[in-house]
Amino acid sequence: MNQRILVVDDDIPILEMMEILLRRLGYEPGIAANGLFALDLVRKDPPALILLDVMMTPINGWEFLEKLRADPATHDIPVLLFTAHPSVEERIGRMHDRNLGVLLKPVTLAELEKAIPQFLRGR
Amino acid sequence: MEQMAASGEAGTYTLTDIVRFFIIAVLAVMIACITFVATLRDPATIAPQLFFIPILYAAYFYPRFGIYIAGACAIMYELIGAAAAFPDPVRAMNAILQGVLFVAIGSIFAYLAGTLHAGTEECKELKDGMVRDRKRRRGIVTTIAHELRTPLQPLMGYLNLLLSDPGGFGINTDTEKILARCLTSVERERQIINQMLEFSILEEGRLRLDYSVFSVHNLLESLISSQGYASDAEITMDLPDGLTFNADAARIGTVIGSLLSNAIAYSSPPRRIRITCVSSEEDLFHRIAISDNGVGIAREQLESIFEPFQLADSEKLSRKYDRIGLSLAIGRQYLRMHGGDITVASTVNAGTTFTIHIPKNPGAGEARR
Repeated sequence: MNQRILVVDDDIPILEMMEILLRRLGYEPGIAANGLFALDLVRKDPPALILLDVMMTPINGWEFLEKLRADPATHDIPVLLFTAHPSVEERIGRMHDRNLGVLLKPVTLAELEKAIPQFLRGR
Repeated sequence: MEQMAASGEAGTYTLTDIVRFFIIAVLAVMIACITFVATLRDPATIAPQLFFIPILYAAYFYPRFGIYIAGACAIMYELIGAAAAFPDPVRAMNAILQGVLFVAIGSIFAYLAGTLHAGTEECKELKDGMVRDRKRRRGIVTTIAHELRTPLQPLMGYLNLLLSDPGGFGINTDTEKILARCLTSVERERQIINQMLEFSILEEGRLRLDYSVFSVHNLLESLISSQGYASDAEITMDLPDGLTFNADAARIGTVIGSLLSNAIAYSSPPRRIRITCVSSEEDLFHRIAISDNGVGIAREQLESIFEPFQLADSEKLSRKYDRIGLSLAIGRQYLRMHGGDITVASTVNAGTTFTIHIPKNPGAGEARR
């Protein structure tokens, strides 16, 4: 069975594109356009990995991450922050969370194909 | 007191603060000596001298009002001095003249302190303004980078997808070429945005180097093969066996990659690039020269090419080679962060040699190059 990856991003074109790319790479994609909806999805059916945008509303990526980590049922789900914001790498370096990584947008198909299994293996 | 506390809280004392302290200290010593001598000669003079203390206090802590306080003290001094000397006109005149002298000195001091204080305040305001501007600029740069990068994602993603399986998407050869050119442009745009952002981060000093010992041969071979430089130029390497650097491999790789990319971009076939080690065993630095047979750089532009957004012969070359002139500025910053540097020698229409200098021992970067 294919690994399920949930993409959380309020940019609809990016969500639609990521759904196609992930399916192409052999994953089972799930999509959510806001963090609160995504939390519901995660609690009902925890994915193998979450690709999480940072700058979103009504809750941003950091707030989503805080709620995810606060719930014992979801606290160790791996998360790749999928963002174009350059300061994120600096911030996660200070967090010492082994289940947290970053993928800077825009990412190519080849980079995505390499980064996902590498991150999941390296945890 | 509040001003001194404010200076302390800022963490530093400016030169003007030090000058003001010095002036006050000298005047205080002078007044103390004069008071002491005058008191020995005539104990009645001690009271008037003490008026100088509030003048000094006012001049330092309230420089804007110091001169008025000095004037008020002078009037009181003269009244008291004249009354004390009454009915001796000589003593009264002496007291008045002393008062005028001390008030003159006090007023000059109040003026100087006020001027210096105003200068200090202006410097502080300028400094605060610069800090605010830097924070604002940082916010603007990161926001712009984010907004420029985000729309590139669907563009890059779909182009990658189509080109990964053109047959599967029913794309013919001509359309595939067009899409490949589109992807190249998007990729170039991404690199430009990344470079601008990287330069902004470097300018703010937020970058930290990640040192490791790595093989220079392996680094060069990896760069050449991953970027396909071998198909664009004949590249020869003349380096000692087993040469290693103790440095940030990723940053050094970026520097060398930029130099190789520039060497290829600014030359025509048949391109020849030579990478040699030009340092001796006794040298405190590794020195690697990268030479090409390209268009060369005019002598008057050799220094400015390391400045951001400067391209040698920019009018002709920037449009042709579609570059914004940040790679050398970034490369030089990386090398200087290591305690090293980059130098260039060039002959127009013959070629250019860039030499990178990297300390053999990190921390020995202040050694003579």
